[in-house]
Amino acid sequence: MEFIRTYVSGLDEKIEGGIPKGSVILVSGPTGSMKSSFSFYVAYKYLENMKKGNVIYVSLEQSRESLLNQMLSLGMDIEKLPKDCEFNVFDWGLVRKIVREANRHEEIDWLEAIINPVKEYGASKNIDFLILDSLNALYAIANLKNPRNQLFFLFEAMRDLGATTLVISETPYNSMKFGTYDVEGFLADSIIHLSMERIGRTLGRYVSIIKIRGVKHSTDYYPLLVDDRGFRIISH
Amino acid sequence: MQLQSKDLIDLKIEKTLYPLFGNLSEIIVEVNKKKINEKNINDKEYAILLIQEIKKFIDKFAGEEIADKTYRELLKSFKFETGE
Repeated sequence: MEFIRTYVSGLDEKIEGGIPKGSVILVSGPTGSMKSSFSFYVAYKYLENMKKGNVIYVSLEQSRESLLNQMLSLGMDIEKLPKDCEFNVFDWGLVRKIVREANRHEEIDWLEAIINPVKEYGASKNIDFLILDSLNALYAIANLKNPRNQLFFLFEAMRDLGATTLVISETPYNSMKFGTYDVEGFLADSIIHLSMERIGRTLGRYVSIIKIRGVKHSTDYYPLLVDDRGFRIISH
Repeated sequence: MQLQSKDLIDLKIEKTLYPLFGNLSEIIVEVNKKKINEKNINDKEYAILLIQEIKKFIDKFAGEEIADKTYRELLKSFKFETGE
């Protein structure tokens, strides 16, 4: 098994050097736990360090402009990546808007519609990272009649792309559920859990690797810090 | 109802967009053609204006690189000079 570094300082040493290349990883946690920023950071740092490669970030709610501005405030500027790097953000909020305007929402097979442009891109270029943000937004758009079955095929379609895929899932505070339908964690090869805990007058952020299929690792929760040096954990 | 030549242009664009957008292609064409005043322009002018609107849309959706690639494919489908 080949591993890709997360570049989260201190974390890779806890998980045999990184996350399994080409696998599907669920990144779950409550609002404000930095799931999007964490996922963007892993893919961005990969491109910055490898100096080549392609990333697709599928944003189902946040606009492209808002997402890129948010990442810019964290020091990640896709315009400054080396020239052989492509960081593509697919802004599905825009498409949803025109479909609503045309009053045609019910006609769309949203699972297929969302995976189609990624497949089309992957037909001519290798995709190193795919980020789906988020499953909860997908559930709000697509009326899943048989979630277990449909999610199985979605995860298989993402796995078939061969990219290292980060699937973002929003969960309630203080919950050990990693997805809405209880099946997402099983379908993913790995689970990264970002959590938050109130400490006096502040909220502390934590990260734990819940599972990496086929790898022995610690399941400890580590404090997660973000500053101008990037993401890092405090190892105990 | 008989298809007009501008309807055939719409269909041709939808066909080119299909691999990227699947069944959304029809809606993308429908929404973008509303931005064009079809009166007093010939078929070629109509096709170019619609292709340009769709390029702008894809640029906002997925960025410049994919928009440029799709734009070239659309022009090629009509055998227009890319001029880029």
